[in-house]
Amino acid sequence: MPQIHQLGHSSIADFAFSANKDLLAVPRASNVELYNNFKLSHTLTEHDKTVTGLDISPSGRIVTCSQDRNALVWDRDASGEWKPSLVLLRINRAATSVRWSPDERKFAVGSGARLIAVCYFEEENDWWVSKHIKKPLHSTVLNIDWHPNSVLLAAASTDGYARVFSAYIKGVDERPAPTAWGERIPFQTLCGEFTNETGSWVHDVAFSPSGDSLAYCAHDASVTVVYPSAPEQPPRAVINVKTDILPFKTLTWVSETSLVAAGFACHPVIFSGNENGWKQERSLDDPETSSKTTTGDSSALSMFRRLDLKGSDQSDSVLPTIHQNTITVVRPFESSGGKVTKICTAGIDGKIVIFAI
Amino acid sequence: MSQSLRPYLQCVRQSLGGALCLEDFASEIVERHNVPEVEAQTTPSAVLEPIVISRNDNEKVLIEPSINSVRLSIAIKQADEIEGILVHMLTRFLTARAEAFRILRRKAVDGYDISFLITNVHTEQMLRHKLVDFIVQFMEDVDREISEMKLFLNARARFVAEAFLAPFD
Amino acid sequence: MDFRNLVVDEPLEKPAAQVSSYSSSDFQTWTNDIKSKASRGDAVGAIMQAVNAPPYGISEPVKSAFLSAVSAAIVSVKSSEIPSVIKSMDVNQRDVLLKYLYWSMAHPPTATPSAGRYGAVPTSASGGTTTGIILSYFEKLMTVAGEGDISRVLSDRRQFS
Repeated sequence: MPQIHQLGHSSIADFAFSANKDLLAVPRASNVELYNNFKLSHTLTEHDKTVTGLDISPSGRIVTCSQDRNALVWDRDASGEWKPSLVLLRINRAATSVRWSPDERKFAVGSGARLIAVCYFEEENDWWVSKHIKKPLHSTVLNIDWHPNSVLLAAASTDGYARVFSAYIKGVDERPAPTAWGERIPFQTLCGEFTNETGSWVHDVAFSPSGDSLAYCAHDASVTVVYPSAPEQPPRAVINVKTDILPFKTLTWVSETSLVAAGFACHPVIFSGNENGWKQERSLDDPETSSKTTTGDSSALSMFRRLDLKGSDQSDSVLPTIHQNTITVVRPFESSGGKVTKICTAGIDGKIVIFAI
Repeated sequence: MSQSLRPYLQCVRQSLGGALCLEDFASEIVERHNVPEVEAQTTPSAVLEPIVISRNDNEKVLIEPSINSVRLSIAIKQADEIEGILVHMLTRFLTARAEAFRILRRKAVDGYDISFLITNVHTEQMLRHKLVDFIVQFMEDVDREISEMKLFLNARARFVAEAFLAPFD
Repeated sequence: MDFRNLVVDEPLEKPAAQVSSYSSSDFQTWTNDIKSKASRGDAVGAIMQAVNAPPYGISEPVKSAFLSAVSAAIVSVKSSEIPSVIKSMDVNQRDVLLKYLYWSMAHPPTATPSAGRYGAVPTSASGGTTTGIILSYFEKLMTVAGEGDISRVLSDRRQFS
């Protein structure tokens, strides 16, 4: 059975667990709430606009970003209090999402200023500085994801493209091993640019666990998986799976051959496949087979009356799914043997749910 | 209940359900602001093509979607002048109390009688499927309300006329 | 474009939509094709032709003439044939059909010349019968497709308008 945690009733834009799963960070309007085993322990108040994204690094540092155009890195001091340090983002529009690189030396912030700020720590000045990836972003960056090598960065944008950039910073990163995405890749190199035939907003991107393929979900209710062939070459395969449920807002890989996407349809869906094709496999918390009964008056007469009047045969005040509203983020929760076994979702309805796969 | 009302409302319900996929989206134009993109119309990439669902020339719904807001405008059936006056009075009554309705727009879009503006704030505070239910219920009720008011008005007019003309029998 | 000097405060132009690979003279021919097919009673064939080649990025008046012909073909299909027409379409064709339906509702014909064919009497409000058929199409389409198809049509940058 899925574990359900109702954390208030306001929207959860993003969330992150610490490596040992004790600490959970959730943005709440312009604050960030920290939960210890689902009990509120701290509230971080420094932003003055909606917090849009946050992430916890493997060693437990928190980074938050907000529509007030700032990002903050939070460290826990000896007394157990969280202290913020400012990041020189130099953006003039809202920040939309933030993610630590897997090696923790950098993090990237997507923004409405049509750029991505890649931030790293400058020892001599003792602060976080950023370099901007601008080209050729035409619109707001909605989400970002790091390649496991901590150099490549994928971005989803409202201009309808999912792109892969190099975020290689001299002096911070070691020279990465060549991948299918690129060999010699200075900062801001565009390693790949993908769209759908509809050109609709791309909501989220994710690299596969090996980093050798990229998945993204767009507002046209589809999920696309890209397999690159070699640098500067067209990809080996671009597979687009169209669905008949509402669009997906977020996705995460479960293994090299399957991924979970969730969004406006309020329940996560598992896709599986390989280079030869992908398909929509099954839903977790499927509304079709849900055992939840609809409440209210159930006489045949009133059912037909509803059918006649509203074109709906449900007197529902409750959706048959666990999430009652859009799912905003899905993240892996637990994995064993290189395969994710549990995922965690957060929704606009203020619920955090852990599903076993 | 007219036969074609059901597919009409069904179509509105499903189209609105597809359009009401909203998210928080800070303005790309104005710093530190968050505006309904469908009203601002300043960021072309954030605005989608509007659609019209019509039952006949007099009854139609305009849905204008964008990334963080949807504007829905309804043209209410007006078969004759009395219905026209009644619709005007009713919509004026409602729009004057727009803040109590939250999603009601203070002014209707040109060519329509009443408009709703649903933003991501509304879909976050209220359940999306309930908002759709509300709009469909509203469309259904407003037709009935107008016909009831018309019947009442006619009955009253008849009564007044009879009372007024009775002494001259 | 010099991205270093890009001013974010300036609004960008509308995102470029993909255009049809066919020219407007092709669509002129097809308009007549569809009209003649529909008048020969092969409305189903006309629709199948239309859903395979939607007029993206085609300029007026060719586009409107084409869309009106398609719209007329759509409403001239017998209501008993609608489910089988829809069932024979794949997901891309269904999405294009949905676009035609939305276009037809936004542009009701001023007169309904073929109204007599399916036995319905034109109502006092013009366009009432055609939109009735369009709505029943929509209903039948929705038994196969879902809300995802509507989202796809709404968010598609390739539009007729």
